[in-house]
Amino acid sequence: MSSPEGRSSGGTALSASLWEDLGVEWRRAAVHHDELFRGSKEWCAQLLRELDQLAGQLNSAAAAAPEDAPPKPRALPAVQALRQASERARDAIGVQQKKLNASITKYTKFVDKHFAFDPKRACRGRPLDRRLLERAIVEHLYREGEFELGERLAHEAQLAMDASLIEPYVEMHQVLKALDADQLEPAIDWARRHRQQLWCAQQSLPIRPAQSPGAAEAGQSPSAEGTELEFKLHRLQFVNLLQQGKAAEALRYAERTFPQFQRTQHSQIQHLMGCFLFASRILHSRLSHPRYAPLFTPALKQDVVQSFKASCWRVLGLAPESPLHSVASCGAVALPLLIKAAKLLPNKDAWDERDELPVEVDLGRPYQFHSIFVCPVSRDQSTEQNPPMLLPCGHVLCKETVGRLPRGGTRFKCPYCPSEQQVAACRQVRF
Amino acid sequence: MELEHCFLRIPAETLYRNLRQHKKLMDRELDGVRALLDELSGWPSSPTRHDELLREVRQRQQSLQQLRLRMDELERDGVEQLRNLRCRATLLSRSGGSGDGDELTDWGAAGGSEDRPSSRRRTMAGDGGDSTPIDGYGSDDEAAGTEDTSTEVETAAHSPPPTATEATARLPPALCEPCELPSTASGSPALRLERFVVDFLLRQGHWDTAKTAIDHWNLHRLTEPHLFEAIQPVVSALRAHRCTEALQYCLENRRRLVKIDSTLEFHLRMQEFIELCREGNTNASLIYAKKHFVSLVARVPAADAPTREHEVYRAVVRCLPLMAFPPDTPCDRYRVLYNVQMWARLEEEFLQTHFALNMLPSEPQLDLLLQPGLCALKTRYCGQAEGGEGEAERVQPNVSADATAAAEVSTATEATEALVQHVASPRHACPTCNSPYRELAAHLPFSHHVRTTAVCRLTGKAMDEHNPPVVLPNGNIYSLEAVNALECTTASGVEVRDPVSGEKFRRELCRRAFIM
Repeated sequence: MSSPEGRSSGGTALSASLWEDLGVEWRRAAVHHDELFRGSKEWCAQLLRELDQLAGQLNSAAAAAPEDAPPKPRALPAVQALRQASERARDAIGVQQKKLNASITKYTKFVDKHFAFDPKRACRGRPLDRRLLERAIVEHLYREGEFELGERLAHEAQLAMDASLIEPYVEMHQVLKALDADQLEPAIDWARRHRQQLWCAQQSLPIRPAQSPGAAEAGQSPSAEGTELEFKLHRLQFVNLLQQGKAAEALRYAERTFPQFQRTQHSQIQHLMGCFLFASRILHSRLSHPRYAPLFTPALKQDVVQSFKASCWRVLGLAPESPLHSVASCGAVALPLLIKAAKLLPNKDAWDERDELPVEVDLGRPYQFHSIFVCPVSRDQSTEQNPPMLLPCGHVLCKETVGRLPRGGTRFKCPYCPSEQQVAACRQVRF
Repeated sequence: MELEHCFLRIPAETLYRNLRQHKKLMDRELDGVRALLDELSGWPSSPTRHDELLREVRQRQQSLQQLRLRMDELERDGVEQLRNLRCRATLLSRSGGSGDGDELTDWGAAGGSEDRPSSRRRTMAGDGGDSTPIDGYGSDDEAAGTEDTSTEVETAAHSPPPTATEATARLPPALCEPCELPSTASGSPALRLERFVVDFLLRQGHWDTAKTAIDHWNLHRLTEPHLFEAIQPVVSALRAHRCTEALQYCLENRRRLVKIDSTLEFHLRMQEFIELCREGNTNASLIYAKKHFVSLVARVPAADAPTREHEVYRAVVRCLPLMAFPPDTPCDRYRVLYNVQMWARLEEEFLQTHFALNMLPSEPQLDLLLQPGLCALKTRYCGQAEGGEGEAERVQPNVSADATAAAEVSTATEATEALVQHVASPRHACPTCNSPYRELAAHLPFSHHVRTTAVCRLTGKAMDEHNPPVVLPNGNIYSLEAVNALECTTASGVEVRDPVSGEKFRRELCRRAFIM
């Protein structure tokens, strides 16, 4: 069994045998639990029966005896049986209770051993501000479209949320809901209203940087043309019509809406027009045409939803992932590392005072939002006083290193290439 | 995974509690039967009358019936907890990634496939049971019980792995059903976040929201609302400055409170005493103090006594003179004891005690997850974004709008403006740059970096060998993609307009930078 820290990293090291062992512990507890309760209920039933018999015997004994004289001193057989049964019950249930107790203890010990963790080691003593955290949660809920929950919480926590903060989310989730119900009009309307912004966002899409000069040469006002998102929406509508077997309507729809995409989506439109030939065959006989069949799968709609969401975040100027999610997933990466660091570092409480984490936490590309320049020579992070400097050869070092390398002179050799550098020729750069 | 300890642990606590309850009930019942038997043993020579005895027998029967019902309840609860445990373990093992879904089949199927041999064993046990002289219903089970213990002894002697006995033991049918986790539910981060948010809401006492969230996200098996529901009245009473409910809680959990060496009850008593003093009811407070405190201060605790005793002693000595000091006393030492803050502290102590009793972590799990996350995200540049860069970005479009008004209006310039405005700037996406996370992270340490990460300010993309950094003559570095997008053709050749400063440069002057 691997150590607790080993298991945590990425989950790949998480041993299956751990879960199996946990399963064994669980099963043991479950079986004993069942035994105990089944057993004790059966004992209850038996005791009840014995009591019934006893009552009967009592009655008959009393009836048999004459009214005035006491009945003959004769032990009732039921008393003996009841005594025996109750003593046996006591023993048997005691054994079962002990067994269950032992198995639960085993289980908890197992859990303690493999999952125990002391939060104090990885976190600062001071908890996060409750009000701010509540605010963050409310925002997160709104963002995720859980308006009812968000409102409830805002009400319960007495947070005054700005209405302007909610509105864009409300609109977005209304559109998404409509999309889900195959109503594309709200989405198309939204895309048309935000055409300008979407167009601009699209231009900067690095996937096709070549488009930018092309658009400039065209000299056409962008708002006259539909955007990619709009086209995708229309395409979905068109395919939906075909799927419903309304070919004529689809044709009319295409005639009405596609011309505005003539320039940008020419080949796509041609592709779609080809659908008229294949649509019915694909739909009825499940023809798997490599070029046309993919259009008639739910993937098309998912793609539309995805790109609508992405566009929304872009237009709203927000991150594509809820920040609460981001922070939480970063925390999941960082926590094991910090625990490990706290174990390895000798002075455990020292870093509480420091203003930097003891280890580097590599969050991966999606969570790098800022350029951080670390001088490759001095290994210092750049600061206002110690900014990165560009050498004439193109390499970047920090200012202190550039000052130190010439050893009193004005020239030095670049540590990374053979060229000689003049200190005066180095320029400060900003990321 | 480090945070999941209580997740797997809490249901087991409930099982413990149920077991104790079961023991108590069963013992009481069997004692009752024994008492009845004692009375019966003398019959009919004993003075107890026949109909009285009969009534007692009936009474026993009734209470046994009740016990059975109570057992049913306990069992149901226990089975629920066991199922919760399995759901949770399944969820965690799925998130582990090593064997998706294995877990479910493993635990469940073991019960199903092993059913046959175990039933065979049970019939054998039944045969054995017939030979025993006791006739009646319970014999079969009794025998099964002894059989079971004997096998266990045997296996212990031969010391095969414990799985051997466990696998052959029968799993109750209720637990053989597959757990009702939706098959799509995985240990995804989203689900974990939902759980932690609910935990946080419950701790904060946002009961209504938490309940709705549990229903909405279907977290019944994965959260512990009952632990918080139980203490709602106590907390609200404490908020209304009333100790009665909390003292009742202490009474119910006395044994466990002693075990964790809690001072909760003492503090509650102290607060009640303070309240009596506040009313100016010297007599009542004197009686109260005599009743509850005298034993505590009967003698000075020995030097080697546990610190708790010393603390309690000091606290009593400190608060007893309060009888002589009214709430508006100028003496600081006693005035602070009248402070309303004491109630808040009491509430906090109560909550912490309750969490400790139930294996709940003292901090919300959300905190434990978010704190490291915020630290890891927080860079030295995060705060600055708003002041320096953000301002420039906001002001800039107007400036360039003037500039472009004079120049020819080309779509490209519009595009670049929009680029600055609307492209998801990395700073928009960075949580710790924006409220409320910036404030949340304020007192946390920065992340530590030993490697350069270059992120383009305009596109938010990494600058690496595929998208190398390009230095403009004014020292600003952007990615090649961004610079390409910023290019515009003019009469003098290809130019690049820096959207941050508004300057224009010839494309040839922009050079690649090498970052090691």
